[in-house]
Amino acid sequence: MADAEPQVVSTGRKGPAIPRPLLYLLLILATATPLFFDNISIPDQPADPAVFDMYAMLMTIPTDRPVLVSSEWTNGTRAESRGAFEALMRILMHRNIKFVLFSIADAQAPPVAVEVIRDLNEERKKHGERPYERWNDWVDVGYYANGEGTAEALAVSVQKAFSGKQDMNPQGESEDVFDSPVLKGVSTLKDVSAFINVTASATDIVYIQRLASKTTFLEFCTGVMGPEAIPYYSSGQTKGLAKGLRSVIDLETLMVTGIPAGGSSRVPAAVPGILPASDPRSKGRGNHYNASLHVAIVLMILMIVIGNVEMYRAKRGAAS
Amino acid sequence: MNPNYLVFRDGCIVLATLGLYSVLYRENKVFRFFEHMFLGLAVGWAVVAMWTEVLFSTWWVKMIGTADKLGHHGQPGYWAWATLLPISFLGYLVFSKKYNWMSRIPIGIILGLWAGQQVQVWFTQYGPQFADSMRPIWPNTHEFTRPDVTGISGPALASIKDTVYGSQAIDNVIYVVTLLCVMSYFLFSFDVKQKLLARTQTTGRWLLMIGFGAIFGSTVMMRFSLLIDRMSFIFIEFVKHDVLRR
Repeated sequence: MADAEPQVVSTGRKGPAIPRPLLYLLLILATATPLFFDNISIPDQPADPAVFDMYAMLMTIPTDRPVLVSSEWTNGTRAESRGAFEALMRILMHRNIKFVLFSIADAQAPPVAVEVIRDLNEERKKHGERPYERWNDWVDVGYYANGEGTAEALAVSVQKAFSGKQDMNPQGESEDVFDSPVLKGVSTLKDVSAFINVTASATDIVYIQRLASKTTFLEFCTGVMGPEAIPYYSSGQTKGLAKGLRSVIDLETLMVTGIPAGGSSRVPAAVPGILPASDPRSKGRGNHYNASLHVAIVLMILMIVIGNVEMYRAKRGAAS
Repeated sequence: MNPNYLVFRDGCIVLATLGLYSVLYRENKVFRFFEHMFLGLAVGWAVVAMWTEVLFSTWWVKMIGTADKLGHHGQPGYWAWATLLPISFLGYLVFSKKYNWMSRIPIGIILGLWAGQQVQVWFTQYGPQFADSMRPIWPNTHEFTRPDVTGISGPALASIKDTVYGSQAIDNVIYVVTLLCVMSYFLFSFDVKQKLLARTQTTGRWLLMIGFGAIFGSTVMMRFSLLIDRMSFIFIEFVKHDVLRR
């Protein structure tokens, strides 16, 4: 393809034009600058009932059974999904809930999730907490190519759906995942506490269609998917919903403040926080990006105003 | 992890990021190179993962069986799994002019399995939403707003949840009107002479556009998030942590 000339953004029919690269440069500077200042803190007041329910459900699901975590994101949506996955892992690790990791969307998804768990374990070691051990605390059953078939199989029998899958035990040997402390005794969805979908694709629909009615289904999705996911939360098919970066920020706030009694529609009792405000982990990825997100939105509004004023002026100039 | 390796690894990622973002200036060869490299890596990874993650455990092991730790027979193999191989290879006959009809056999099997699920999955997806759409539009109390439920629990909380307050009724009316208008827009997609129906359709179209606007707003916010994350990777993770070691 031949090299094209740089595009310009016209602000009116006969008005001046702003070169598009200049706009991009402005946006890059505006979003990158706040990242250097760790002490910038935008006050957050969570108001989304779906996030309240998500946190309340995660804090009250039984700890004696494992949860199934379908991690359906890769580095393409790291901005939103990694923050969501980190928040989820922090809560599960805090409550000592065992989990099974797998994916139906992308073969790269499980290794990406394993990398996050490794980073969180490093963080836990720094804070004097025990690392979450593969095999004893969680297992990775990998990628499944046929999402619909896998979800259908899981709805019938977890044991059959994951049969033949192996993971590394602490001795470095591959063993059947059903010999691990995580999946020992698990046969059907009744033997798991919840099914949690962290997704950047339409896998939520696949699970809602096939197994959401048989277990507690919770969903972390991207901002783009958010509006489409709301009806499923509203109808109770999804018991908790976190949508994009905004929900990650709220979730990180709730992990500090907790929820007072009556704050969640699904859990009437008060739910405590898990991190003190002084803990650096309370400022997770969501809070780290919050200031930049605000600056970017202000810049966008400013550009819309300038564009409209210029268009109005150009129209008036043309009329006179 | 070795710090020099981290600088090399993250440096490659930064280079790829900048190469891909160079398209913002103009279409160029650097962008093309990194685009093709990304696609090649993704396809290569997928091919290997298809064997190691999927076919090996869910097909090969089940076909040949497994031995226990002492080398004795463990799980017996089921030879019938072998029949899947020729059936699935029939799919590639789609490229043959003479035998392409045979590719319809595996496609037919997949379609049949998929179609068999559809009645059940359709109802589990939409059934609860039909029930949720039946919302009360008339308040059953004189109070307009729902009281603050912070600190309230037990029967008092249940009573508040069962009450339809004025503000809630207005919410529900907006919901029901939106639902009916949008449905009439899709159901009566022919030229409607009846004035009321025509207005309902127009309202439905406007309400749909408001919904699409909200979706577009979320999309823009997500694109900002993606840019912020890339900037964080370049300036904080690579420059600050890896290179400057701070």
